[in-house]
Amino acid sequence: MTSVRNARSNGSSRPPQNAPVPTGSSQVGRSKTLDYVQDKLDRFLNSLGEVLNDITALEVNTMVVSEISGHKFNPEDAYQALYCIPLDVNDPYFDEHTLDPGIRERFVKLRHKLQDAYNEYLASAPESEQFPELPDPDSTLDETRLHRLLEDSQFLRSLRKLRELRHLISGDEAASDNIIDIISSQTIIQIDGDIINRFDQRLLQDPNREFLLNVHREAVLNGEAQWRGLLKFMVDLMQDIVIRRRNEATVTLPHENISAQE
Amino acid sequence: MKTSRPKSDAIDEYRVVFVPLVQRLGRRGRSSFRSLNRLLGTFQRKSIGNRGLPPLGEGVPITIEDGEFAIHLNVSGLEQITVARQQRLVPQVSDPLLQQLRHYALFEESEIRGQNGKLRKVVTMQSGLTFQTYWYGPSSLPTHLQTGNRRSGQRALKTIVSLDGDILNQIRREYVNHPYGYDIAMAHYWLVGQLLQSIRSRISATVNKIVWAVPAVCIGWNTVTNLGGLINQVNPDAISRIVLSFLSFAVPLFWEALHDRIMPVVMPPIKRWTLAQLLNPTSPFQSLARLMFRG
Repeated sequence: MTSVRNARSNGSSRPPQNAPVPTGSSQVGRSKTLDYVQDKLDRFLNSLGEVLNDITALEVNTMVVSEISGHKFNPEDAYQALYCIPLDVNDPYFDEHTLDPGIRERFVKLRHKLQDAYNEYLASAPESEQFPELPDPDSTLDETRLHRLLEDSQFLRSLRKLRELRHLISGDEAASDNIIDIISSQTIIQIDGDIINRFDQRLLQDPNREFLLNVHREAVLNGEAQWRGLLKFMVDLMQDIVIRRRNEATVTLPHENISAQE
Repeated sequence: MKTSRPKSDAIDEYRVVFVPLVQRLGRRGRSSFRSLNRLLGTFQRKSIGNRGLPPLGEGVPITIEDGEFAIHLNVSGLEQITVARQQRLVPQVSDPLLQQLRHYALFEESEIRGQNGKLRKVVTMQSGLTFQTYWYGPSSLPTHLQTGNRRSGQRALKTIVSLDGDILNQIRREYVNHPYGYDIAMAHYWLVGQLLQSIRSRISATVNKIVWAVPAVCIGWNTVTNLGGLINQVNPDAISRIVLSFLSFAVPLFWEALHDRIMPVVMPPIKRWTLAQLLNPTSPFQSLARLMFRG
């Protein structure tokens, strides 16, 4: 069993993010393209290492929803949809979209979570990208910054979850007092063996609670199998990429970002 | 197996059938010549379906559209999965479907609007592998499952598996009181788990294939080009060339002997190169890298 450790906590794990983004093979030199490819690879391996490092728990959420969205995830559209939410519940935006006061608060909460995800990104971003405000998707000045952000794996994972929640809150039948479209059951299995179950109080009073609890229990049991399969694939890949030296305990990835111990 | 579909379709359609676990694994070879045995195992898996127990039913179709996986269930498909779970059968995942799973488990492709409003393809690490189950009730499934043909089906469940350990399950409200609701949910969770557990890294397998392909090509070429001379008269020169070509098997034999020593040294740079090409949508080696990664 290999444990992977990285130096993310000291803020230096992310490789330099100032490599040029090629806009077309004819417009950039070969060396710039190679830099870009190397940078992409380093960031990818680093993200993979970060994911393995940050895994502390398996979290399974079950929601009963009025509609399952068929829209495919597009980072740019998802960011735009979340960015445009105002931080003030009395903003005319909510009147224009005829949203109930309860839902407004949930929307504003999502916007705050977008900022939180951005702040997490900033924690390991290079100095040249330390802007406290989220990049404006309508501003050409923020374009490069936004593209960098939308290529960050950790931010993308948060964005995808927030986008799902935004879609569910937007549903016609969703309301703050409605058990539909909220996370009704949550189970967190921590790496140290602790298991935390959270159930919405309204779920426990629902006539269909037995069905919902059984479905959630199965989701947790199978979720563990689903995630284990994915995790094993990632760990195998990471182990294969790391240069293993037979007689040395510690090995190093490019840029000495991640080290693994056998 | 991959079903035929119109060329204009933007989706890939596959079908999984349910077989005993031992049948999916195929026969194990001897411990020596491991890479050759692995290679032969691939062919065994492909042909074993005819020799073993017949698969359960016609199987369940799975489509992939824009990197998202969709399971299509009607009553017949649901019954197959229920029986498969009870009898501890496993889905026989075809190689093309496995290749797609392997790719989308790791990578996500999206388009970002760049300067001049031009769309730029971007490859990033997967942010959430998505599986949806469509329910068609007792009716038969459409011949081709592209979006326009799915009107008789309804999205019943959705699961997003994130690499950081977050799993988001959505179940449509109608299915809470649905006569098949519980079974559909169980089938969805079970099949998603089975599909994800079948993913394995296969870059090494591709390298093994290439190493074994070298002597095969040498022998084939030399035999074909020299066979004409041998038919008319015994030609020592032609015989010696054929014999020499057989000696090219020394390459994989040498490879087998040093496999465990060479692989840890050779594979990391090959795998890094493969990943780098996959992450760069404009790379001229994208096709080769995809072939390497998919195995």
